[in-house]
Parts: sequence; C-alpha cells; structure tokens
Amino acid sequence: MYKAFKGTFINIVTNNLRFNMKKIIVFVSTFSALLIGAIGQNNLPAVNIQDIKGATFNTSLIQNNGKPIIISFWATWCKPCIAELTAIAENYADWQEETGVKVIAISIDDARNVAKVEPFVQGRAWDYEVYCDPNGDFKRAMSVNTVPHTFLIDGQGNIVWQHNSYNPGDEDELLELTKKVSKGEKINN
Amino acid sequence: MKKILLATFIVAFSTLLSAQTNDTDSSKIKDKRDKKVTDGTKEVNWGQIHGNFGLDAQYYLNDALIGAPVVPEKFRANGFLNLVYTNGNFSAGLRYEAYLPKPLLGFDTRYEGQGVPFRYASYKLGGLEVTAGTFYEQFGNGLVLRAYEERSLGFDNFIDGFRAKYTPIKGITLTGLVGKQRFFWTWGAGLVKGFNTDINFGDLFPKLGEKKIKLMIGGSFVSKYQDNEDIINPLNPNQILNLPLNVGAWSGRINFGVGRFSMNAELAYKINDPNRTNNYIYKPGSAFYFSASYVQKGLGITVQAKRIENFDFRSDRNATGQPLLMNFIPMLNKQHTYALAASVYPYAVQTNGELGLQADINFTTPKWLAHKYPTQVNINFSMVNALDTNLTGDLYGYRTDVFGFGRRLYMDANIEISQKISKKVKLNLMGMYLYLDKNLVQGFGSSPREIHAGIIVADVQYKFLPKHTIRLEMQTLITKQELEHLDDRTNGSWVMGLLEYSFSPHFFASVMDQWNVGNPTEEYQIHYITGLVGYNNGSTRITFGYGRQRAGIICVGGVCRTVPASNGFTLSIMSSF
Repeated sequence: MYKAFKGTFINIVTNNLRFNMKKIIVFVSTFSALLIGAIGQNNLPAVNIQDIKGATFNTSLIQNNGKPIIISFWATWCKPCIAELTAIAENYADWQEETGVKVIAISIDDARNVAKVEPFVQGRAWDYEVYCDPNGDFKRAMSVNTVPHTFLIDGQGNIVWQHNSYNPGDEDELLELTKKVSKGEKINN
Repeated sequence: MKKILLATFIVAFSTLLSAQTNDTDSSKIKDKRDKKVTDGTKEVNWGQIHGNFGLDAQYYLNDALIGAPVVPEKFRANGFLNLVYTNGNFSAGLRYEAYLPKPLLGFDTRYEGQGVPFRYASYKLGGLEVTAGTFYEQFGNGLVLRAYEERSLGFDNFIDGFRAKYTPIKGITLTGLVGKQRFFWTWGAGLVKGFNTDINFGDLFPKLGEKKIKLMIGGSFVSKYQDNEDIINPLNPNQILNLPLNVGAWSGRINFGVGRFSMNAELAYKINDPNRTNNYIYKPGSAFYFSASYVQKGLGITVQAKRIENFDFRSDRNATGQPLLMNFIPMLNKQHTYALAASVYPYAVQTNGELGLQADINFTTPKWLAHKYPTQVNINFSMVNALDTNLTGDLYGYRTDVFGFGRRLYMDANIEISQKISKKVKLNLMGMYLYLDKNLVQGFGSSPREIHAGIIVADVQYKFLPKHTIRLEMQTLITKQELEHLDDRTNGSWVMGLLEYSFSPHFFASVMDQWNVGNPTEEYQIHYITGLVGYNNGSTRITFGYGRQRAGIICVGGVCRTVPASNGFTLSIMSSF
C-alpha cells in the first residue's frame, strides 16, 4: 500500500515536472534575470534604532520632503568620520540652501559611548539629525562594513550613491553629486 | 526519498513565491520601499538582495626579532559574505565565513574551517516581529544580555533560536527569546532565555513631549540553563560542587530627561553563578551603570559611573576569554584612536569587579572669542579601581562594601584640541597622562606592575591642492624603563611618525614607523615600519600593505584581543552591494 502510494506520488511529481519542464526553465531563467535586477540595496530598510535621547525610532520614517538625504554612519571614536562630518558642518548651511539636503548621522557607538553621543554632537555644534544604532541593527541592514560609510538618497528614497572611508576633499565630490540629485539628474556609481 | 524531498522543496518554494506575488497583487499593497519589476501587465515584487563581503589575507614572513610566531603555511585569510533578502515584511539572510587554511594570527584558532554559521528568516505582522535562526540582540545597556558581532576582533556571540518582538501600542515593546549561543562552529552548552520590556512614556503621554520631558523605563530577565556536571570544589578536592543548573539575572533601568539634562541608570543582579572566571564562587553578582549629561549648543558634558561585582555572565560555566559571553560591561574611559594612546597600554574591562568614573567635556569656542575658525576641545578624565574585597575563605568568595575602592587599575586624563588654521591646514593636538596596572588588568599576575606614561600627539593636515592632502602624525609616549622586565618588547618610551597622502576620492598611501626607542634591552629598540596603499570606489575598498605589526592588545568597542607580532604582506578587500 505504502509502496504503491509512494510510486504513484513520485510518478505524479516527476510527470508534472517533465510536463512542466519547459515552463520551469522559463520560470527559472526569468526569475534569475529578475533577481539580478533586484540585487543591490535600493531603498532604506525599516529597522528600529534610537533617537539621540534613547527613544525608539524606525528608519522608515527618514524623509526630507522630496529633497536629497545624506546618511553617514559614524562613531565618536572614528577620526575620519569626525573629519568628514566636520568638513560638511563647515558649509552645511550653504549645502542646505543650495540643494535642500538633510544630513542624517547614524552613530554606531555601543553602550560604552552611546551616552556621550548627544554631548559630543552638541559640543561640536553640529546641526545634523542624529540617531544611535548601539547594536548595529541598521548597520547590518544597510550592509555597512566599516565606518565612515556614506549614502546619498534621492528625493524618492532611492539609494543612488554610497562611499566607504573618508579622505579630505571627498566632501567636494559629495556636494557635486548632491547638487545633481537635487536637480533630478541621474548619477553613475 | 531524495526525489520526494526535492519535489516537495520545489513545490513549497514556488508556492511561497506565488503566494507572495498573489498577496502583493490582491491586497494592492504598493510598498514604495521595494524595487518593482514590471512583468508585462502586472507588477511583481521580487524584493531585494543585498549584502557585503570582506577578505583579510596575510602572507607571513619570519621575524624572530619582533617575536613573530612562525606560520608554516605562510598564507592565511579570513573572509565572509553576508546576503540579505528582503521583500516587504519578510527578510532572510545568511553569512558564509571562511578561515583558510587557519584564522589570521591573533584570532582564535577554533575558527579554523568554513561554513554558514549565520542564517535566519524573519517577518513582521502588525506589531509582531518573529525571527527564527540566528540573531543579535541587546537589552538596555547590555548588562544582562547583549549578542553582537565585532568582526575585527573575531568576536561573535549571536543567539541561534527564536525571538519575538511585540509592540501592542506605540511606546511599549516586549521581547522574548530563547536559543543557544555561537561557539565557533557549534553552539555553547547552555540554553539562553530572555524577556525584556521597554516603555516610553513620551509615546504614551504626548503631553510629556510638549513639556520637553522624556521618561523611559525598562526591565529584563535573562536566564541560562546548563546540565549538571562534576566539578571539584576548589577548596576541597574530595568534594563535588552542587551547581545551580538555572542561573537567572534581572535588570531595571530608567532614562529620564528634562530640557538640557539627561540621565540614564541601570541596575542588574545575578544569582549565584559559580563559573571558571570567578573560580566557582557562590556569591551573587551585581552591576550598576549611571550616566548624566548636560547639553547646549557648543557644549556637552557627560558624567558616568559604574560598579561591577562578580558579573561575568556566560552560557557555559566553563567558558573563558571571548566565547559565550551573554552580557556586555561597558568600559568607561575614552576610546582612543591614536596608536600609542590606544594600543600600547590599553585598559581591558574587569567583568568580575571594578569601580569606574568618567567625566567628559566637549565644547566649541564661542564666535566672539575665536578668530575666523572656532576651536574644538575635548577634555576627558577616567579612573577605574578594583573592588575592596575581604576574602571569606569559603565558597562564597568575598565580601565587599558598596563604595569600597580597592587598588587603582587605570587612570587617564587627556585633552584634545582641534583647530582649523586656514582653508588648507587643520591641526589636532592631544596631551594625555595614563596610569595602568599592567599585571592586574591584562592578567599577567597578581603583583602590581605600575605604568605611568605621558603621551603627546600632533596631527597636521595640509590640503596642498584641491583633492590632494598630506597628513603628518607625530606621537610620543614617555614612560620610565622597567629594568625588571628586560624580556618585554613593550617597555620604555616610544615615538611614532605617520605620513599619509590622499588623492580624493579614490587613492591613499601611508607609511608609519613605531619605534620603541626607550626599551632598556637594546636589541628590542625595534622600528615597526608599515606601508599601506589603498583604493576606494563607491562601497569597495582595497588596501595592500607590507610591514611589521607590533604585539599588543587591540580593543574595539570595549572588547579586546591580543595580537601577536607579525611581519608580512597584507591584503584587505571590503565591499557591499
């Protein structure tokens, strides 16, 4: 009985497989093609992190009324991160006026330093929107390896450019790209 | 049988896909956050795949002078690939890791091999989020539970099991989890169970927000279960210890702020947990963390304190070192990044007992005082003492006063000044005094070995052309020679120079020399010279280096690992997509 059932079952399955072989090949190839099209981070993931006061904040709420957004992952102990955010801070008012951009600084400081993030940011008189990701949830969701890692988001919420590490002068390239994005131009990365 | 499995898998997989497609179509949910592909007339949501990749490889050369261990196979590499698939409220991911043929020097050799230790699937449904498989988690400040990864240190204590998070109303989050922790390529012996609640009164009572008051409270309970085993009483070799199989720990915390003031406090307690790190004593453990801050534009002040007593918490009572830690005890001292300040005499947290204080001030000079460019200043002071303990002579271990300060373990007073001089020149200066009891902190012995050191750093950046920058870093560490430690390759004063050239946004090159100029053993007055070139493009970074790595302790985020000396060529590739 069991054997008969087993045999029938296999027959049904294999027959269907054979019958559908063409379909399956079409399906698999279309699927792979679509998958390749879907590779890469295009939009911001929705992850719970903390605002600078420690309250829960969901990253899906990040927005800037159709204007570009710069997201910079940093830490209070990361010298190049601070250099980058300081360089942008020097001309931030001009950047905002020119492109409407908003800079969002995501601190990956853990429990050791997370309480020092707000005093650090205020002490430096930075005008950025700052959030804390003390256990790396957003960092993982954005596939960030090391800090600094900077993303440029267009007005529709698409990630259009990203850059890992910071060298002095990188902020000039970022400004040029932000200008393009604010005008709705495409950029190649 | 295999055929059936295969067929079932194919059927299940295609059903899953079509179910998702149907769901998307029928409910007309247009998730803007996912890429859409137009397939003829209907829109199909295929989700996104993204991830990252890293490879660190080294070709080792023999170098007996610096004490580098001989690597017979010459070449070793650590690599990983993360893949994450998201589609609406569903996500799944995995990580492949390889340590071939063995982990790089300084990483635990038990990582040898390759495999996919990390894999999970999770979905969200209303206020509920469920994860099956591996995950990272932190309750509060992490005093009773923190599962996290610090790849550069080879630290990974993820939990493999189930987790559910539920938000019944905005402002309340409940988390429950159960699982086992990673132990290299398998799991630790103990089962971890945890429950956590966070309540944000600002969300529950919006009027608080209008009055600029924030109030958040939280509580956690974490327990581990481990089977019984025969462990000999360290005080009586004829006796077997009567071990607790379940060990529970709880914590309560509050986060309160009015206007410019904020404070955050957490208190944790653990029942008797005889384990190898505390030498199987039955004393309960406790941990207290406190932080207060004041901010205004251009000024930020933080004051922190902590007291840790017998609080090493692991899911295996016999584990030591990095593996199977369930909690995280934050260090309260500045996380230095200049090499001589960060890694010659670093502090390592004492999870079984310490008292620490820290004060940190950041300010920017006001406009009326500064000339064209404001000055940015950070002043930091921290000290850590051991507990003042009275041994009881029995299995209880010791007794101690709440405010009983024992031996000084570490002290650090430093000031750092950043000044832009002109459009082209930026200057960073740091001065620091450091005290470390090297034996007590780094576990070399119980007799004190006191280090007093002064460190000065000057860091100048000169952008001589648009996109072209040169940076020069000069550091010196001054300390007295320890003539009783002539065999130590870290002894006496150091000087260091680093020259870096960068061509934005793609290239950089640097050369660095760390010189133990004051080592009382003349042949140990070694130059550790390293050259590095790198290329960046988008999210990809490739660096190639050659040189000597000094033996020492590398610490990131409060966890440290010792690295042996090495000499050779290094290649590092990092990328994300």
